[in-house]
Amino acid sequence: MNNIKIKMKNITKVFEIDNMETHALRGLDLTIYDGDYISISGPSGCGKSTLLSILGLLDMPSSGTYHIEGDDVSQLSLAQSARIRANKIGFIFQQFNLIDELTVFENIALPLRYSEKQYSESEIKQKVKKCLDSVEMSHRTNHYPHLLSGGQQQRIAIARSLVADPAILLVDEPTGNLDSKNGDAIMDMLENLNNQGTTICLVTHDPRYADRAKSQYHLLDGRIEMVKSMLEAV
Amino acid sequence: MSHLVKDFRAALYSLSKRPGFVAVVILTLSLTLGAFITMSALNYTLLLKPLPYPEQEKLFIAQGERFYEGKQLASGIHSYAGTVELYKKNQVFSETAMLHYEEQLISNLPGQPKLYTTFTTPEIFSLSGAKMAQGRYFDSTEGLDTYKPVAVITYDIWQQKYAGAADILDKKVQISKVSYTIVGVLAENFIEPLLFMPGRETQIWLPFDYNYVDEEGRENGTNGSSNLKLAGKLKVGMRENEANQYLTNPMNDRFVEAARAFPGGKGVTVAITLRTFEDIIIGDSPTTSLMLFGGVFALLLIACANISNLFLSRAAEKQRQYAIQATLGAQKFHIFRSIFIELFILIFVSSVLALVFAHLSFALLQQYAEGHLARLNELSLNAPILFFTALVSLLLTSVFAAIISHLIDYKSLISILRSSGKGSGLQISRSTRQILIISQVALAGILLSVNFTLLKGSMEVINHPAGFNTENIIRIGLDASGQNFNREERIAYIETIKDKLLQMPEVNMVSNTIYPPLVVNSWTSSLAEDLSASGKQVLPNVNLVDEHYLTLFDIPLIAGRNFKPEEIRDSQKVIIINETVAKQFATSGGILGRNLYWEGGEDPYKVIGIIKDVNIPRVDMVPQMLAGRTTGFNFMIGLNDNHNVSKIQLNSIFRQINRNLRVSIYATVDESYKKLLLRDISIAVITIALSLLTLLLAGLGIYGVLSYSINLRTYELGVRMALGGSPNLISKLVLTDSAKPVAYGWAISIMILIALYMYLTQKMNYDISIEVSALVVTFILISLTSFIACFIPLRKIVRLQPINALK
Ligand SMILES: Nc1ncnc2c1ncn2[C@@H]1O[C@H](COP(=O)(O)OP(=O)(O)OP(=O)(O)O)[C@@H](O)[C@H]1O
Ligand SMILES: [Mg+2]
Repeated sequence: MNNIKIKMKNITKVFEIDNMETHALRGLDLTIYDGDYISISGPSGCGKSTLLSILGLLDMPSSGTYHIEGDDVSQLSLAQSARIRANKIGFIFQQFNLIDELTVFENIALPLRYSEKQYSESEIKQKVKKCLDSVEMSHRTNHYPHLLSGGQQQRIAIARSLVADPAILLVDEPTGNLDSKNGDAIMDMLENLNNQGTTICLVTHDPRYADRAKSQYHLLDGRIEMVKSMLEAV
Repeated sequence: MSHLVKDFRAALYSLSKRPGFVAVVILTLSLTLGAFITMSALNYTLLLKPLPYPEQEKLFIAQGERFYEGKQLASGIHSYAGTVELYKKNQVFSETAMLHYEEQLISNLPGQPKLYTTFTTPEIFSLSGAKMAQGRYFDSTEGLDTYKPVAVITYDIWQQKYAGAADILDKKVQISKVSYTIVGVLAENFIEPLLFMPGRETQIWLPFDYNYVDEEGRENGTNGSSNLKLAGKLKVGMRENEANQYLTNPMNDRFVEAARAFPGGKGVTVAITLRTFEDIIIGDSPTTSLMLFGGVFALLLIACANISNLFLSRAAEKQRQYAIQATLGAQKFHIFRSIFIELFILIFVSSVLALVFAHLSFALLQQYAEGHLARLNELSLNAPILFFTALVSLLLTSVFAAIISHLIDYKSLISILRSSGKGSGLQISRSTRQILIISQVALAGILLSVNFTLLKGSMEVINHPAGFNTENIIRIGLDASGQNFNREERIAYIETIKDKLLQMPEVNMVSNTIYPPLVVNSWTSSLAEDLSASGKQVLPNVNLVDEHYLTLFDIPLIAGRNFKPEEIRDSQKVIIINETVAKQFATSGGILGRNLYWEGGEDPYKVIGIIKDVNIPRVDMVPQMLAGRTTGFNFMIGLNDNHNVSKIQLNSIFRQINRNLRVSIYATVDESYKKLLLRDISIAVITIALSLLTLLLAGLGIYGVLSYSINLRTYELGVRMALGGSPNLISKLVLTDSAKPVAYGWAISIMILIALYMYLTQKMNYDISIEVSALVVTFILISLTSFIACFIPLRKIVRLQPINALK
């Protein structure tokens, strides 16, 4: 239970635009354990999304060290980080980020196709079906995303994030574009997943949802502090 | 009105903000449109515009043809006496003229230039509707057998050689011993019917009586010369067939009668066929001009596809601005008005530049294509061309406007503001983008394949070895200014000249020879196996040479031997023939050592050697015979490496021998040979330039569309990267997607090429072949260009951190 999934040390991120430096993260330490469900909240512009994209290897930190399951991932090439994303990380974005030209099925299957494990077509079919079942969207397999409602699109996005059995699920404001009923349903789904053992890192500024996480962090001025933990830290 | 002015200002301002866009559009359009206007004008002149002569459709040349046992031996050849008889007893023309085309030294002009002189009866001027700048043209009192020494000069000669002298009509033209009084200057806009040879424009017109055919030549009934022409306007009611009969019968009777005197003439008949001025003047120019037109038209289409794409992208760029206008109630026209005005401004400027460019191209064509393409001197920026340009520009403007307003979906504009804006809204649709790429690739494929096929043919001609040495040899011909020498005097002079030349330190060899090996069809004669009518007969080119000829030009003997000095000195009856002649006399035991009868003479000539054929660019193997004897004042001078002798040097030497001797022909053999390659060199240059332009335009166009498409996909590619798509996988995906329309375009161009090939070979009977290597090169170049066009925008995206692609 208490294996370390993610360990960040002294992470900084500086954006430079038009000779103006923005220090989005200023020496941040974060450890996430296997099976944990953490939430990160904070005011707008405090660096939540930045942190999440570094966690998800969508961007590189300016300095600091970062390990996933013990491997150093602080300085990777674009191809190396893509491989880790395909195999270890699942994303759920605020704007769903589904590809309009692909069917629901193909959208969900994408991470499998990018994985270095060579899945057979039947394996892919089986995995996609399982994930679709778990988000109760099996009847929409061959539809195109733009025909679906926002809540439905987010479920597809969740199914896609789970399909490759990621080590950790990164979730950025999953309910931002949804009404409260749909939002609650998504949150229930995340809780279920965590109960089944998925490690989750959730970014939200909705205190109601942040409270549902086992460990709650607060991000302010590029630094993080733990507000509450239900896990016994070792 | 003030509204429009304001819109114009706004359009100018917004264009000034995008100099790159403006430059690309104007450059692309003005160049291609300029080339298109040039080729349209050329083809209009060649194919549609009547010749600038009164009743031009009734103007004909009576063209002599010779047949041997029903097979055509030669065409465009006339016997002097026969032609004069036809002229005198004319039955078919309402007006007829005789012309004899020559080149003469004008001895009372500074530098004694050699000018194109045409000896003519007066009618040619009225036939061609000549107008005068000064004086008059020949009148009926200066016709055949009147011997009035008068001259008419062209406007250019008046300006260039007489500095436009006001008293030009008092001046004289001196050619050897005759002094001709200038009676007129042709109008500046006079266009001579070029009946002798493309590009050969008469500079001085002289009476027919004074032509340089000697007494013997004027009486000979079998000789043929291509310098002599009979032209005329067909009588009302006279049909061509009928006229051919009237002309042929007396000519043939006379010829057969005269030919009876020698065996070589047996079985040969002559016929006269009327050919229109148009036919003669235009020749095979339309083949070239239509091909150029096709190429330039394809280029224009490629440019149009490029420009459509540029405008569509520009419209797409402004989508937000348009969307707000649309929600506020603007009509489609209001929205696109700014684009239309920009379009109009750009096309207008491009058209003006295109006209400038066309004007320059006319000059360029007149300079470099003279002799290859007919009627170039009629090209100018005149009213029809301006009108045509205006029409084309208007057409282009409306086509672009239609494309833009058709392809941009007004209805979807309003929804843009409501949606989040990602991936939706005003776009060039996927199918439009595909069509743009497919059409560009297809057009470029056709154009490049044809270009490379032509290029390959020309390069083969250019690179084919001559088969004889062309380097360090000068050909000269001397003129004795009308002084006549008898045979002994002439031979003595030739010996002296040879000695003097050999004394020059620059010279290592001299050969007394009429023609260098590259001159063919100047003197055709007959060689017969025996004197019977049934004997095998061959019609070779003749050259008179001495014993140094083969050595100087390094022409290998494949059998037998060279001439000996005493054979030359005594004009012994021995000849050397080339392989082609030897093959035509394919008798058992070979032709070497056998006797042949030359030009029907009683005494046989013994074949002492057989030489290898030489290669003359674009000329099939010609039968050739060399007779060894001392000839006139024609020499080939072999120089030591890196040495040269000038015309001035030579003249000063010859003047010491006889003060009347003057160099009238001076040419290096190498340059003369290169002149024969000029056509192929210009084809090579044009095809390479056209290919580069095609590649550049198509490359820019494909790049424009692909980079637009790929940028549209940035977000989608970002999602794929976030989900673990590696740069390699993403690149592969985009490259394969982009390769599809390129492949379709390529397939279409192959199909069109095959159809074109079938049409040309089967329906038009052209002898062409599909060059697989040209197709392969085209395929590689187009694939490479498309790959680069795809790779540049792609590289930008796959080098991003995924989070930046998702923004
Ligand atoms: N690519 C970038 N270039 C420059 N500055 C950036 C970039 N991305 C983020 N920033 C800046 O970094 C800071 C943190 O941004 P971030 O998006 O992480 O905030 P956030 O906590 O996710 O805010 P929100 O709750 O509004 O989504 C902000 O000041 C932002 O302007
Ligand atoms: Mg954010």
